[in-house]
Amino acid sequence: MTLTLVRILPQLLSLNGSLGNAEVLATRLSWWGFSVDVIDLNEGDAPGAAPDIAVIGHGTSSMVTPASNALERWKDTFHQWMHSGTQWWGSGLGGDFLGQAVRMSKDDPWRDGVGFTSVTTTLRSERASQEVVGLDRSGREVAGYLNDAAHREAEGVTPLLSFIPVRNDRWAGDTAGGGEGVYKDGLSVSAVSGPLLALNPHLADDILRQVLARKGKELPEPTDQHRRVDEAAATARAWIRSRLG
Amino acid sequence: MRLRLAVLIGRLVRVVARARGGGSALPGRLARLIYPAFLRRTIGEVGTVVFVTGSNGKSTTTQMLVAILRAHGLTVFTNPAGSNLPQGLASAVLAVCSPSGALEAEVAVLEVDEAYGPLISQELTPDHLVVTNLQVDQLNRFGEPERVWEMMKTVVQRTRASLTVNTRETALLSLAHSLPSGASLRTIDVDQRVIDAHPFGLVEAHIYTDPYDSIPRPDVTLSSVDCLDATVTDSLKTAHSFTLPGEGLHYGVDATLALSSASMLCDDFSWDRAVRALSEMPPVYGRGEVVSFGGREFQLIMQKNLPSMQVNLRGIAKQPVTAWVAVDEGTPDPSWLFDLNLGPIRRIDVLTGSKAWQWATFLGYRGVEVGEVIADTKAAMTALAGQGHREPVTAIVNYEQMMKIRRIAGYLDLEGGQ
Repeated sequence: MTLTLVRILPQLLSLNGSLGNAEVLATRLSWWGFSVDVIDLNEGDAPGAAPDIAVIGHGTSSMVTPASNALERWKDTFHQWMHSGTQWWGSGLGGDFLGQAVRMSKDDPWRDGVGFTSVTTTLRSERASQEVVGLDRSGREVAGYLNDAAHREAEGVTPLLSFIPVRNDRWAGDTAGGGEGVYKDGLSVSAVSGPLLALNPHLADDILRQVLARKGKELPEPTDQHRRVDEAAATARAWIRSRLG
Repeated sequence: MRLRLAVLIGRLVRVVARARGGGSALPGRLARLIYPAFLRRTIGEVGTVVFVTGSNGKSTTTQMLVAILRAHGLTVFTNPAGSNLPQGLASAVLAVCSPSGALEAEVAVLEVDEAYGPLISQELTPDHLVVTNLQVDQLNRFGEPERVWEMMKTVVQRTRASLTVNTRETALLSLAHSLPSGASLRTIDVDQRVIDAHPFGLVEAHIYTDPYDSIPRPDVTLSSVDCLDATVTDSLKTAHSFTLPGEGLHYGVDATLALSSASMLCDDFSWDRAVRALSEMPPVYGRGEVVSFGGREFQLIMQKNLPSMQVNLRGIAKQPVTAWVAVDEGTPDPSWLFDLNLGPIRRIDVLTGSKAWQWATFLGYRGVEVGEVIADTKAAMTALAGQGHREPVTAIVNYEQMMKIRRIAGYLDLEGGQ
């Protein structure tokens, strides 16, 4: 079986390993024997049929305008993809663009996002930069590195993660009651790097379980490759937890 | 009087720190604490002050420029590679100044950390500024390249005479908008064929700035780089060839910037002397440097940020006999690893440091075999030294681990042997 994964604007939105999340999703599928076509959707390209997975990564503030212009043209198609069952993963700025709007500062005009969530994002010069541990919405342990310079406002969203504790008082990027990111059916968004899905493979498998369910398949048992890399990730998370005390 | 006191106490602390194999920052920090105008009253008294800053290549460009100037008979004060914060500069002064703080130098060529450029330039005004490049660096430390550009702009605003940049870096050209009146923009160029011949190109950060249109003709152009052999052409189209201290386009760009700056600073500039000085340069501290421990050699390859590590890895043509990665909290957010092309590396024998398991996770997704994780640096070095191989260990290390490895191996010249 061949699955498709589209990387949205990889030339603009690929900062700080954020497209590693696409690599993690594709590689885990390949270890189970699935063939994965990874397709890049760059500025000026015409989007094709709805993929199984769409991944959009992080970018610098200089990417806000060109990314916004490109996404504006694809917005309707992306909503069709979502309606067709594409599973979305968004990191950092790319994840913010899946919300309502993004602006480079509070004095700058809003740039429209794709509109999958209610989140509006204002980029800031102050950066929260620290390792974090916490729980996902299912109460499972997560760890990563928060390297975020944004203020977010949202209504009625379910956060993807909650941090324990949020020690950095410069962080203003929470989406709901101190929670981080957004989860809804078909969509996961986070500002945490790491890349998050590599360090927390259960989040990756949540997405892949949905992808395979649409094909009438269950998530297979982990292979030796899954086990080896997941054990390394679990130890990496434990080290992060111990560093944070 | 306070300057003399700062020198005296700084030197005493320096002696103790070196004897204990400690870092080079403390003496300088104390000296500046005792006498806040320390940098201005010492380096600032040198006739000409040159700052070399940028995301990568600062150490190499600085050392190349120093070598060329010294080959022309100039006395030069410089700071050791990587000691590019205010305290590092002050420590470098303490190493060579007179009891009154005087430096015997005609030119000061200083490697300046881009994040500390605004602070250092507030204390010490540069006559000339060389910006090597603007690349994506560690976000946790510098933030976005847009922010680094703003920091560079602050230094440009304080530069008295000239700004030298690579004309291929449009964001750096736009810094010239901020030059004070009387100061000028100077450029070097890199032949497009040279860029095209290198898979990662110049890896410059793409940011949006006001274009600068009044670009002067480049006075030196990098016209070829083939392994260690490089050729530049001067403004009269005469070619000059030399040997680089390491393989890679970036070394060629660094050399071109150094040659351009030296030609401006030397009244009697000689291309022959300049290219000979470049060809005779030893490897830059920590960039391909080889240290010995337990009867085995360790070749140190720095992993500072994505662009620099990517070009440093280009020097690895085949799977090393023994590959070691040692990374600790000096690289707090190693997320950018996932943007890395590992080239021919298919096995890492030992992973070390507090980020070892994050590396192991990354390598797992790349299908790279991992031998074992030995968290402690000295234990890892001992294990690697005892493997019975003659070939050197290829050690991919961050700056903090590099310093630790050098200390463990008994290299106490922690200021880079300057």
